[in-house]
Amino acid sequence: MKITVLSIIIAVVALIELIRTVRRIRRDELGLRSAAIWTLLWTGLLYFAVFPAHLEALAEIAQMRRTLLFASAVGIVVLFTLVFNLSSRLEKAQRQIARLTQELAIQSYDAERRIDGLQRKLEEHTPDKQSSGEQSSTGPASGKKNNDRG
Amino acid sequence: MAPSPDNLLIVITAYNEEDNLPHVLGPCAEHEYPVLVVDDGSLDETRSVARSYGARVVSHPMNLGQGHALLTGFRVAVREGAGTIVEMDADGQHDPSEIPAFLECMERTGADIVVGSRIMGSNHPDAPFFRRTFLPHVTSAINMLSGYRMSDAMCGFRVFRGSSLARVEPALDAILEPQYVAAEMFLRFAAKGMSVAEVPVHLKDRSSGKSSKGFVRYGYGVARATIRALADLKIKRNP
Repeated sequence: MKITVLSIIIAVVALIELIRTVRRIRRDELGLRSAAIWTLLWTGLLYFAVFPAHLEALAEIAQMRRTLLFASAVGIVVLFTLVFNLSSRLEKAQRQIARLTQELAIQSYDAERRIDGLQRKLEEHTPDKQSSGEQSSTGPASGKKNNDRG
Repeated sequence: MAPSPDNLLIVITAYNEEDNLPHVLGPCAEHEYPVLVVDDGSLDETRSVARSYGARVVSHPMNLGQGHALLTGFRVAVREGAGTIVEMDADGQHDPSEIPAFLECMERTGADIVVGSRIMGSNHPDAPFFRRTFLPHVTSAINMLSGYRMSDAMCGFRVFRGSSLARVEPALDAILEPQYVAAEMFLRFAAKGMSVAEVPVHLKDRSSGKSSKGFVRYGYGVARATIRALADLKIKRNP
């Protein structure tokens, strides 16, 4: 199998992406696992674009006559694996974000309740304001008295 | 004699419900029920409207979905030691005057959860086509998988025994579904041995606006939740 225009394009793209990956590794933007996966992937792509005969040999081992078909099949399997891993990690991250958001909401709620309690205590100790009849309620007051449990 | 509403807390999840909230918070205030509104990252005045009615408000900084909002409400209620936790929708369809019937049923049957059944309610024949047609089938599927015998598994008007919820709190943490939580909740609660009873409820029309739960989204969401829960659980039959 000789070097074609397609293999040159693949080699150039793989090389560019490999350089980008290395840069991201240097900037600490990639974790160890992602760095290993992407370096291996782009290096492999570059290698087989430059040495297509080796891909042919692999296709023969896999008992596939057409090298391009073999490369496509391997590519699809790799892509599916990557997408699966990505969606699993995304789902895990979503769950963690939801849990964090809930905790944050509950902590804010606790803090507000404490502040409300302190304000009430403060109002109790300032008889002047109470006697002057100041009211801060903005809406229907009928429910106010019912919601001050603990 | 109506059961005492002592130590009761109504949990209402709300997302952009500033127009509907007064229709549910007003009657709750009339009945002197304490209310906790879980504002699920609303962009409107939901929070301030709820506070103006004297409700306590816990706010998600971002929209997580009704399921997650409900779990936040449950967590707060359990932490505050609520003896009875009432779940109600924010759209004004549920009538707080029906809460004593739930409490009476809980006291009589000793059930951990009392579920409102729209199918047992007198105005079910006037319900929308989707509810009349598909609700019994969805409920049958959940019954089959959980071992419960409910006539309406998807009604958002339910009462939980606080001590029972506290006992199964880890099951709440395990819930994956962000939006259509009922199916998963029942499957997980059945696995924990929680018992269910039912009372008829009469649904009012939505006060204003449209529900964001479309037919396809709803069906897909319930199916997804069920499959996810089953995949995550080894379900025990509830006797």
